Amino acid sequence: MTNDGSKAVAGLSPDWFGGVIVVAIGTLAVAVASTYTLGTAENMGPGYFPVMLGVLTICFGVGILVVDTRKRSEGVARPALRPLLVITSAILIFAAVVDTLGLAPACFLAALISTFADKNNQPRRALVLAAVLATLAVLTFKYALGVPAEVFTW
Amino acid sequence: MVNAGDLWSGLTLLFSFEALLYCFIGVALGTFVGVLPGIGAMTAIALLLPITYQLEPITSLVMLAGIYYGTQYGGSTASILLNMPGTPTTAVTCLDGYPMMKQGRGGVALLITAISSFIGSIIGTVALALFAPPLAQIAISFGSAEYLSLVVLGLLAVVLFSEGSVFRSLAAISIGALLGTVGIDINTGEQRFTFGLLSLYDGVALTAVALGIFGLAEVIANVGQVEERGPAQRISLRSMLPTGDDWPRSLKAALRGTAIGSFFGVLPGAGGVMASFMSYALEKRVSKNSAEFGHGAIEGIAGPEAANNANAQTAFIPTLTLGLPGDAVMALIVSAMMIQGVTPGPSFLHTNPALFWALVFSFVIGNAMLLVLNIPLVGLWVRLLNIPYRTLYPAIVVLICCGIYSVGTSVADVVTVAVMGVLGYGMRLLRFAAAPLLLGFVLGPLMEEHFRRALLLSSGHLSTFVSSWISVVILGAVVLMVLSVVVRQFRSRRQAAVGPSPADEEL
Repeated sequence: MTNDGSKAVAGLSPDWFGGVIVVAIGTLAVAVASTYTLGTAENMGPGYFPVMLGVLTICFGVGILVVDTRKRSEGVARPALRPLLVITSAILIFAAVVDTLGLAPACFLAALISTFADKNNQPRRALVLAAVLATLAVLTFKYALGVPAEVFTW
Repeated sequence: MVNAGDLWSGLTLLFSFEALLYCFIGVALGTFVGVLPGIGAMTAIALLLPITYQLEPITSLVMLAGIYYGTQYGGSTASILLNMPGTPTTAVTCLDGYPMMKQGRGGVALLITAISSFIGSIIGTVALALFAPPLAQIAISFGSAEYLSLVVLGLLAVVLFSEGSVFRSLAAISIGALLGTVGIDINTGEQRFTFGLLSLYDGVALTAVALGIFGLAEVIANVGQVEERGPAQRISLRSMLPTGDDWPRSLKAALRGTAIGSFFGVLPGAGGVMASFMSYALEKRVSKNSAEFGHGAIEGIAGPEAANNANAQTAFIPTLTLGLPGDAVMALIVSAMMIQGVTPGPSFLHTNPALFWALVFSFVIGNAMLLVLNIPLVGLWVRLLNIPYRTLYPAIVVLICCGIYSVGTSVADVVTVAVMGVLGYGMRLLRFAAAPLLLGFVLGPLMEEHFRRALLLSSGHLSTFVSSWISVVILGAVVLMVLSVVVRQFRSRRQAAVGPSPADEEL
């Protein structure tokens, strides 16, 4: 059990995993940024600062790996996969649909899909909620705030 | 120095219908998001950023600031009534606020916290008015080298006071800064990290990062986790009247809390959470009947509530005079100001005195509005607390989608929010604090500019960073901080070997 009571993923240490990811990001940054013009200290090119940041990131990642792994912290908390996948999909569906179908359908779908993230949400209530939210959203953003979006683009 | 003409122009700038209206909207919204657990000032401000682009600087600033300190009023309502903090800074208020509720003294608790918050805010605002001008005066002589050292100091302070490991926060800052370099480099026109994607030419949208890492990640983490709450009881106005020695006890606690909060507000990174916890600890220690704490001691709510409000007001001191945001929400406000063409920093008070004083006066008016909103109108917020989270979060999702889309009607921005949401959630799982990333994102480009300019002026010599005494002092402070962190690591490692000491069990 982790501190907040959620179950831990066995064997996976957040320190190792986190440290490795950070070092990877830093290395990637240095690799890409060093292809840009570096320039000199006096006349810094676009690549100078990102390469510096990349190197710092690697150092900090090493710090995580060396120092943090000494403390025996509990494993990574088990990710809440259902909310993660459902909510992310809701946002992506909104993105996919808003220009082709319009603001209202996009809001409706985003709200409806996101209700699936909580298993306690009942289908009929979810439909009503989605419809209400879509209406409120359109009224607020399109009419009250004047966002240049089409309500329905059919 | 300060002259009456500036004060007067500040007042006249504020007293327009639009500015006052948006001040009210800001504090009302702040209370609203403060009351509701699961949505905070960060999401509210990120959502409103696009709107502020169309408003006058004074109006948008007054509104955003109103949200910022308004949340400190609302947060305690949920803490007292439901034992669930509306904002992290009001978590401590649960300890004695909820027992008071159970004793039938919930109304008194709500009144006392509102009044303590008011005291903290007003005194904090006075501190802002007193200390900002002289501080800006000193800072105006800062060159690029000094400024860079200052930003480094501020970021280190954030790291020191952040939860979680030091290296994680540092990594978050540098990764945030890397994210900030994405896009076309202003100086040379060369593309950085765009990989040919047109949507990345202008960089990653700030609102998308803020909404994703804080708003979306919060929703993902909270769905299904927030326990079902029982309905909140109605509070009558009469039940709010304090009895016996409630007044003197809470007043003294509020004053002590204000002192603590004002101090921590000036320090970048320390934040209201630390201020409120420290105030609680202090009250318990100086109280004659410390056994009462945890069972409804009124000092336990008066002190922390004054502290977190004073903290919110004095946090504007480093932000406005030095351009140093103390936390992620402030960083967002700083960005909003920059987009409006008003750059917070040493020259801000000099070139925009009317704006500064208008803001200061708006704090006074805003807090007065909040007093009305939180005492007689508290029943409104109580009713809000009855909405179950499973109905609330789809609304938040729709808000986030529409909010980011309204920035530039760009689908790419919406996708960015989704990506940032996953990133933010991943960071939570791996125990990285999110605020340093946003700070790095906002301050990174600034640091680069100053770094570049400092080296350009000194013809590439790094010695420029120790050539002026201000810079030396700041860098000295940086070294001290690094040392204290190292010492802290050693001490905790020794304690881990030795076992907890009795002193640790006192809180």
